[in-house]
Amino acid sequence: MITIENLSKRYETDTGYSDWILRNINLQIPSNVNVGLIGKNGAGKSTLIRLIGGLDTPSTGKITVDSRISWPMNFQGGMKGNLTGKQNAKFILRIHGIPEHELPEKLEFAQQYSELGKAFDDKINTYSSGMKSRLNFSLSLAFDFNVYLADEILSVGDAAFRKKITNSFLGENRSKNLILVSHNEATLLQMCEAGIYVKDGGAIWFDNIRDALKAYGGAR
Amino acid sequence: MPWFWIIFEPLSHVLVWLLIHTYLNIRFVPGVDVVTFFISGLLGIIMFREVVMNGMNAVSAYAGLLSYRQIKPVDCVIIRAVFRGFVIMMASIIFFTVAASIGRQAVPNEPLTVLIAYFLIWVLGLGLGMILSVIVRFMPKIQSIVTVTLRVMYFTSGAIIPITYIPNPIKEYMMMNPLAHGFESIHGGFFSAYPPAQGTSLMYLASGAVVTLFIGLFLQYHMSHRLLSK
Repeated sequence: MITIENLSKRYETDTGYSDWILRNINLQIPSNVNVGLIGKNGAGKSTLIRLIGGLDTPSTGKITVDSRISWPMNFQGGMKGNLTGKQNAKFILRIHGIPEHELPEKLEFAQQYSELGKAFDDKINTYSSGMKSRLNFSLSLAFDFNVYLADEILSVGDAAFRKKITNSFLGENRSKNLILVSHNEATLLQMCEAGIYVKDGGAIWFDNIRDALKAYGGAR
Repeated sequence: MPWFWIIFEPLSHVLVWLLIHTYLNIRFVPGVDVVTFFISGLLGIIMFREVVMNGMNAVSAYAGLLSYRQIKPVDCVIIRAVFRGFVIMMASIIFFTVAASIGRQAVPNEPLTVLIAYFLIWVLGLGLGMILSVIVRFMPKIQSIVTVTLRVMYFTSGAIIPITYIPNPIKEYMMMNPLAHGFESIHGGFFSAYPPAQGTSLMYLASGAVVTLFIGLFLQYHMSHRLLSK
C-alpha cells in the first residue's frame, strides 16, 4: 500500500518557485493491482513517479510506502556509459545491499532475462535504447520488489520481450505489481487493472483502467 | 591508456620544470634536491587540481546514477575525490621509488609532516569540490573562473617556488593561501636544509580545510534536492 497524503509539489527554480505541478493529492494505491498512470505531457506523471520512488521530496504532505519499491525505471540514466552492462549490474546490486555471494546468481538472471547474451560484457555506450531498458528492467526483476515503477519503459523492446514482461506482471498468484506511465492505450489495457488520471495538478483514482482512459479520452 | 596518463601527466610537468631549471641554471636552495622538490610539489598541486575539478563536475558526470535513491550528489563528489587521491598516491609511490633508486634524496626527513600536509591538501580539495558542485549547478560559467584560479594557484601556492625567498610584501600575501602552508610544510618535511617561510603552520591549513569541508557538507545537505531535481 502506498499512501499519499496532502501531497503538493513545486520546484525551486533560479528565479523563485515554479507553479504547482501537483496540488493537494490524496491517494491510496493498493499493492495488489497494476496501476496505469495517464495524463497529458507535462501533467506531472513523471514527477509523481519520482516522488513515490523517493528521488525527490514533496514540497508539502507525505508519502508512506509499506512495501519494497523499485527505482523509477525510464530511458535516461540508471547506467554509466563507460562501464559494461555487467559492471553496471553489479554496482546496482551492491548499492541495494545484495551480499557478495548472491551476486553471480542475480547477474546470471539479469543476463538470461534480458537476452543480452554476449553484449552483457560490452560497454553501455554501445547499447541501443532498447537494450538499455531491457537490462534495466531485467535487473529490477532480479530483486524481490513488490512494486515496480516504470516510466514509459515498456514501450521499447521487441514484441517477444514485452510478452515476457507481461507474463511476469499478470497472472493470479503474482507478488509483483506495476505502476506504469504510458501513452499507449493497448499496453495500459493489457497490463493494468486500475488507473490514475493526472490532470491540472490533481490525481483521480479509477478502479478500472477503462474508466480512467475514458475520462482522459473525453478530456482530449 | 588511462594507466599511461597516470604516470605521464605528472611526469611531463616534472620534466618541463627540471628543463627550465637546468637551462636557466638557477641557483637553488643549498642542500635541497631539486628533483624531489619538484616531484613533491607538482604531485601535490596536481592532486589538488584534479580533486577540485573532478568534484565540481561530479554531479553531472554521474547524473545517470542519481536515479537510485541510495545515491546522493555528495557521494559522487566523495568517490571522485577518493579515486583521484588514490591515483595520485599510486603515481607518488612510483615517482619517489624511481627518484630514490637513481640516488636522489627522496625519503622525507619528517614523513609524518609530509603525509599530514598531503592529506590536508586533499581535504581542502574535497571541501572545495563539494562547494563548487553546488555552485556550478546555478552558475555553470563559474567553471572557467575556477580553471583560471587553479592555474594561478599552480604558480603561487609554493608547489614549485620556495616561498622563503620571495620578498616580503608578496610573501605575506602568498602565505594567506592555506595551500602555501601545505607546500612549505611538505618541502620542509622532506629536507632538513629547507627553511619553510616564516609563519608556516599546518594548523592554518587544517583550519582552512575543515572550515571548507563543513561549508561543503552544509551546502550539500541543504541544496542536494536542488541538484537532484531537473
